[in-house]
Amino acid sequence: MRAPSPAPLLEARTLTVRFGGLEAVGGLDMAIARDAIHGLIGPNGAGKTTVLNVLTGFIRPTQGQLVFDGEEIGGLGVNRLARRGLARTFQNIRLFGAMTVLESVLVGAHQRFSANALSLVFSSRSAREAERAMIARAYELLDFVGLGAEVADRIATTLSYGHQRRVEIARALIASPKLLLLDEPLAGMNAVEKAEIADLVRHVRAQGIAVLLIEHDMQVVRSLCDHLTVLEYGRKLADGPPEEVLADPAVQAAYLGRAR
Amino acid sequence: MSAPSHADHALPVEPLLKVAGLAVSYGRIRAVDGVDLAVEPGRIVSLVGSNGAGKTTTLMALSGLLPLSAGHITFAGEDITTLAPDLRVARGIAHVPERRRVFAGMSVRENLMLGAYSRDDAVDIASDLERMVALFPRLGERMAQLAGTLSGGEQQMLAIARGLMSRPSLLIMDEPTMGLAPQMIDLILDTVLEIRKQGMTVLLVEQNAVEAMRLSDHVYIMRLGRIVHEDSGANIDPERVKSFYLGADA
Amino acid sequence: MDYLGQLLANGLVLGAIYALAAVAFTLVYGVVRLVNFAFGELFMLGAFLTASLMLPEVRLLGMIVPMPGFSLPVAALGAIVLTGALGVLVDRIAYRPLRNAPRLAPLITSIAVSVVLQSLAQTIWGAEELRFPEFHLATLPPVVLFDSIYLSVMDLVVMATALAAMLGLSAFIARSSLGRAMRASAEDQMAATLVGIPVNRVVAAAFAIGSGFAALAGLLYAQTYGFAHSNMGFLPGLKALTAAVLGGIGSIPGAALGGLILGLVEALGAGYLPNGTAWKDAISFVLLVGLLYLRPQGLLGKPELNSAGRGSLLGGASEFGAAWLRAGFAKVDGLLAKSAAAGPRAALVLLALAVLVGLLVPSDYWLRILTMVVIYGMLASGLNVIVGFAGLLDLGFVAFWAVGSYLTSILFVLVLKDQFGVAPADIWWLLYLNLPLAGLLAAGFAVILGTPTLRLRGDYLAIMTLGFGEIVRVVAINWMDLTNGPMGIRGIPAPNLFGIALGSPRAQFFFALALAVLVVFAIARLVRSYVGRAWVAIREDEEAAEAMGVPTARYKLYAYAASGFVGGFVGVFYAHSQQYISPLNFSLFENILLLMLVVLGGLGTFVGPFVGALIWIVFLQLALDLPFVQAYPETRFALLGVVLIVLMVFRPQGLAASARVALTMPGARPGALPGARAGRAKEAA
Repeated sequence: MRAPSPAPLLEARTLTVRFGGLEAVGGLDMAIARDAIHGLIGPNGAGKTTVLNVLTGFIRPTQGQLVFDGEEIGGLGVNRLARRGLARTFQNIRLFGAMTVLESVLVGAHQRFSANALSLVFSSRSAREAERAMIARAYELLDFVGLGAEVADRIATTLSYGHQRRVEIARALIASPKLLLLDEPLAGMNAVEKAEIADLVRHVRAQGIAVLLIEHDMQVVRSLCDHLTVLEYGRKLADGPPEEVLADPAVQAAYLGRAR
Repeated sequence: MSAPSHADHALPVEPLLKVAGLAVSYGRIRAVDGVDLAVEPGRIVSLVGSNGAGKTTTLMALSGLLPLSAGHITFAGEDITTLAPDLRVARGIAHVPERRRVFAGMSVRENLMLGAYSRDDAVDIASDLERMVALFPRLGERMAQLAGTLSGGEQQMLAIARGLMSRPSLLIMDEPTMGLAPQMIDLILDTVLEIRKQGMTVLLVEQNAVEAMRLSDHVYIMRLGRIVHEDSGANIDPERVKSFYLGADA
Repeated sequence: MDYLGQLLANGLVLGAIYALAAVAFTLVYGVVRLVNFAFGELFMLGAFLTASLMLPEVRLLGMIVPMPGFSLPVAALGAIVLTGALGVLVDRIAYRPLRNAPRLAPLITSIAVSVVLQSLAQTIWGAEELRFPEFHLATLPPVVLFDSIYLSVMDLVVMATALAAMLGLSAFIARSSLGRAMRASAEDQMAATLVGIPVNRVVAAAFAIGSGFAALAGLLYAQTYGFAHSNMGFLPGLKALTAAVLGGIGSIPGAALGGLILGLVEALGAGYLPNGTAWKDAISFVLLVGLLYLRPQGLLGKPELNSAGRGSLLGGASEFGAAWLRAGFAKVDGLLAKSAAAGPRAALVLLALAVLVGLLVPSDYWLRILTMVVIYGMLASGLNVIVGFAGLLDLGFVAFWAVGSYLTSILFVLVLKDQFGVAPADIWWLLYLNLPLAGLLAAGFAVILGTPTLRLRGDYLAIMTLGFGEIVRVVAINWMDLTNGPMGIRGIPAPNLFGIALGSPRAQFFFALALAVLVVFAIARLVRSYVGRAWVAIREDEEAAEAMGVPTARYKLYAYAASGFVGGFVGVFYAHSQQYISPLNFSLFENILLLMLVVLGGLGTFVGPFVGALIWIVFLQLALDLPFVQAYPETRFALLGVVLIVLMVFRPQGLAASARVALTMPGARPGALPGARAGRAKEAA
């Protein structure tokens, strides 16, 4: 099964990552459609986070091609990729300590600001207007992720875990990315929180933003994703719609183990 | 929470390890909550469950790497809830950690010697080194080699042997087969059975639920930080396990 | 050839001593990833203790105390054991509570420990040199090699001792059970714990051995040069750290190699370069800076050591916050939080208060002191940009201050007055031109110095900036034509406005206050914008900031530039206010002091630097009324160090941490503002 759309948003071709002699990802072909919630799953150590780190520039691929929105992006640095429209969250939420929710979200909008030092010191009209516009946008996004304006001035890291995850998503969304990469966004959450975040992911997609999701909770993956790529030992084991992929005996064996 | 005792609990054996109401938190996140476990001497007990279920966290609390937010751990009749990790090793708990964590820059022999750090009986240590070589002949050929240059399977053997060097009465193993080739998995799991035959008690965390059920006298299934099911290895319904792993409720 | 041979021999002796002290840094760094700056002071204590134990009597705290008069080997052993024990104690009290703290905390703590030990040594042994007693071997005639190279017997003893100690330590680390445990703990603390190694005790052992090595190096050094002095550990400590980094910190053979290379390079440089002896300290630091730029892991080190810890001192309260301490701070915090929420209005109130003080204080003496408070507050504010907001520990900040001071002094005095005979009063306006000019020059300088540090993180960054700071100081001392060297520059005119001299203490105070308003205003405008948010994001989590599209390298340079600008700007006024400057004004100690003031007041706040400066400088004066302090003035610095250590353990955010700075432009918020304010005040209460 190939991705349904003829011109995918992101395409990886024969992506390979080696650390020393160890092959973490081997010859991976993967395509993410423009309107997809695309799941990347596999047992522990299969290389999922490595793939996400390659896509966001944290790791340089040893081999292979990455095409995003029609342009080759392999080898670009982290902040450049972010500016191209790849936004991410982290497996262990990485909010900035000692910053309020509003300020944290605004960091995500960094690329939207351009005032120089003098116009900041003299608080020029354009600098003020940019700030005002982005603050208003940040409030919209807080609302969008289900947080009220009243949390805007709380220190982000003092929020509940579930709320921190929402702040992280808002921070990723404020720069209007084309692809949102979520690394185990549901880890450590209870059933209610999981359902809420899953809903939020659907809303993100409804805004025209594609989502790449690494997740272990198969119940959620099954209901949320419209396409799955399964990795095992850094290689692609299966690719296709969730029901089909999860029924695949090879995938079941990868998760549960094979009997000898 | 957990089901009351089953047929295999019939014999009134005092458990070697008893865990009651164990809870562990990372900051504000409670990763493990209300876990009760009993490991009787001479048995293999497994803890299975999908990623993020709290298995590794539970093991780390048992060996003292993480503090408990609630609950008690009793080992060989002694309350060790707040005992320092090195003293737990001295009491007889060896923990073979996830991803092996051998000392890569040190030789195989040095790794093994470090396993015996809590002991000071030079003669017995020498004889134990020989025992390890007998158990894992491939380590014997590589005694002077740096551990970091071993293959994954050999590193796993070394990690197990390093654990055994402390002469434990309980061997805790966290995912000993992760990332290994199939023949190597067989070899490691056969070794687990062999060690048990020699009288060792084993607490095993395995992702490979099928194998875990086959090997173990008793299996606990974890999900979202809690024990959701337990039974003797033979009695567990594989479909049930599958539903915990793949969410195949449909 | 003879000359070369003699230089090589000298270099070997010096290198042996550097190597021994480098082992201390490398051993402890290997096990706990901490650059313990205090080893320089343990080096010095080794020398003092040995000398004291060898003498029949010593003057301690001004009293003659009888001593055992041991021979050198016995005294040395005693000193090594005592210093080792002190090292363990320091680890237990100051470092162990910070094992899981952000990287900056133990680094600042080790600097504070250094200050405490040095001040205590000066208190106990006095500010004078203690002559190192002669050992009977030293009276033997020198050994002559190849007819022309003279080596004293003690030189040979130094080399043999160093060699034996290094070989002994290597064998211990390689073969013994404890040595194995040390290597295991260095490699993987979790795995070490799991095999039953009591890691805390292993770390204590590393501190004991490291401190013993530092003491051994110190006593050999003092023996070679014939004296012990309370600040003798400073430069050799830096050199040893350089040697450790050169060889690859964490590697013991690396420390030996680094020490030897450094000793030889210094000896050869001193012997062959024109005016080499004067420049030899600069040679070491140029070597250090160049190496860190090209190969930060050093010759034999592993690259992964150059990694950043995440989080900052402001990220959260200490886990050790005792209840009474928290209760005590609750009131202060509430008040500060309220004032911070009030933003610019609170600033106006503070300014009005300062103006009132300036008008009402009758004594010139106190006006001068308050002017100093404002100057140090401004300088600390500049340092705060880079350390407090961007989270980069800069130990070379004084260089920017020096650039400003020297620029204006050289122009006014050495060029216009001395060369062209222009009276300063005729060109009073030049001062006002120099302020921004020096700011820009220092900012450019900061960017040049900052660029090579971009690849470095954490400890390496601190060491490299320290190297830069030292190079600038050595240049200031030795470039006689430009700076007048150690004599300094005299006769710098007091500030003057349209011919009105502003030389009176009151006028100077208000001048300083006006500059402070400008400085704080400019910094505040930058910080309360996307620039400040980018800085704080880098401080808290560089990788995450990068992933949010922040070009972190560029924003680090902006932070250097802003910090450098303030340093240069304030430096101009400093020179005119003091009317005399010399390289002594810009020592590393001044940098450390500024850092301590920022930390004391609260990193990453606008008031913190001024709070720190006010508390310290006023205390410095008031304490002089105490008879005890009159007898032992150095104890004030020891107290500052102790306060800082206590702060790091119990309240790493500093005193005024609750005056948290908002990072959004004032007035750019929608209508939600008043409610949000109330929310924050409640939060803090």
